[in-house]
Amino acid sequence: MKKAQFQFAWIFAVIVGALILFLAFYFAGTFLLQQRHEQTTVETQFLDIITDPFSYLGSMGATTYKQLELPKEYEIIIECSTSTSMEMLGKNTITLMEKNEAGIQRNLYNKYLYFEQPFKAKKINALSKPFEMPWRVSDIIIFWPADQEYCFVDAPFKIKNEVERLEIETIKTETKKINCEENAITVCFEGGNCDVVVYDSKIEKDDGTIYYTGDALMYAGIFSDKLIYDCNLKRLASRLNTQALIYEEKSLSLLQKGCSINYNLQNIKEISSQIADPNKFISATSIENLQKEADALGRANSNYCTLF
Amino acid sequence: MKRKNKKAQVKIQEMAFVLLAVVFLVALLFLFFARFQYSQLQESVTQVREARTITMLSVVASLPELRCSSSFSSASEIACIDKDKVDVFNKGGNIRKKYTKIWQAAQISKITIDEIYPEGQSYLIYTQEPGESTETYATYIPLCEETTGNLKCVVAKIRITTNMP
Repeated sequence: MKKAQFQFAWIFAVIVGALILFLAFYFAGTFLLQQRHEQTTVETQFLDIITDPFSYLGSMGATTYKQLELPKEYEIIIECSTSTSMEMLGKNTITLMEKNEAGIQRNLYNKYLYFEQPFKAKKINALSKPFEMPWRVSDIIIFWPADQEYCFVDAPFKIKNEVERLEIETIKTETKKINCEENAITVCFEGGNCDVVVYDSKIEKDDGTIYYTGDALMYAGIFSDKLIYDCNLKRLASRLNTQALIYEEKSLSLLQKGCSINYNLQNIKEISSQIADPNKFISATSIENLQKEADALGRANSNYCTLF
Repeated sequence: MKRKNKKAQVKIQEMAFVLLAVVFLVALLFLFFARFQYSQLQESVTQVREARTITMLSVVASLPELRCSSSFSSASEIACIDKDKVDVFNKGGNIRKKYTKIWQAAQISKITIDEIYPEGQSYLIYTQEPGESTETYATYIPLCEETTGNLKCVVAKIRITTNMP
């Protein structure tokens, strides 16, 4: 009897002890997971805030370069979706992952992030450039890991000058491809056997042809996946279309104030609407037409009755 | 024999109570710790949201849809808001609707621009049902209007109301 009681006491103590230990480990594990989840979420928010070109990277509408540093290495997942009836300007979503543990996804509706997947980094290079068509539509932000070197071969003077002025250490400019570092991504201008080949209005890459106009989209095309590039370009076109509606109203207001210039924004609205259409491919012609129309509006924009 | 049996039962009961007390104490400590963590988290959310709102003040002021035209002779380097563009938002309709998600993502419930010197019109950029707790941040900015060859500016105040956790 005494032996049985003794055994029962032990079994009871072991069961309760195991239960306590299990609960302790369970809550400690949950707590650590929650801490990591919280950390990645806060870092995502941080990344969102510091990528506001106005608040951190530099002055409005200017080309700026900054190296951002996260507290630790993360896999950065950025996705893009074009406009829908609910989200009329489309969105980029950003998620930071650490050891397969993802933070809360953050939706960015007023940012246009260009980058190449997979993207794992602690230090990130961020280049912000204004996209103007002909007015400033928005600033686009280009990301690439700080340890990834790019080598621009035979770049035009303007590009070479800009890279040197911004002191971007990870973009080297060379006259010959042979002078580039072995692990660098080579970018040739006007033909050549490089990883990326930039022509007047298109960029040839492994994942396809990217059509561009202007410096901002050229940089975006060099540093970005075609999928992200096309999606964000559609978002920009959608934003341009909305802005054209605002400027149309403004031009009517200017007319009422006695301005004699009647700005025609119909064409830019139509072309931007075609590019923004999620069901249509972006063609070289549509990009060219958009630039032509923007140039025409730029010429019409008078100092007397300024529209933009 | 019976007495010894009873004594053993009392001992087991004692042990059970002690273990129960330990579990209860651990649970209490855990609850206390969770509460502490929650308040810390809430504080950091508030801080991030405040930083976001202050950032949004400059974002709103420099939004191409509201900002003065870059070619305004005296406004190319200074931040100012275009009255004609603000008017479009003030009318509401589809334009205001298109930018809803941008403000919602930043937990903003209201954006207004008020002419304060000389005192004049108020413009509504965005509004939605506010949360239980809100905080309003404001900054001063020139509100300019393009007239034939001239730029007419007044002092305005942008107010952003944000939902707090």
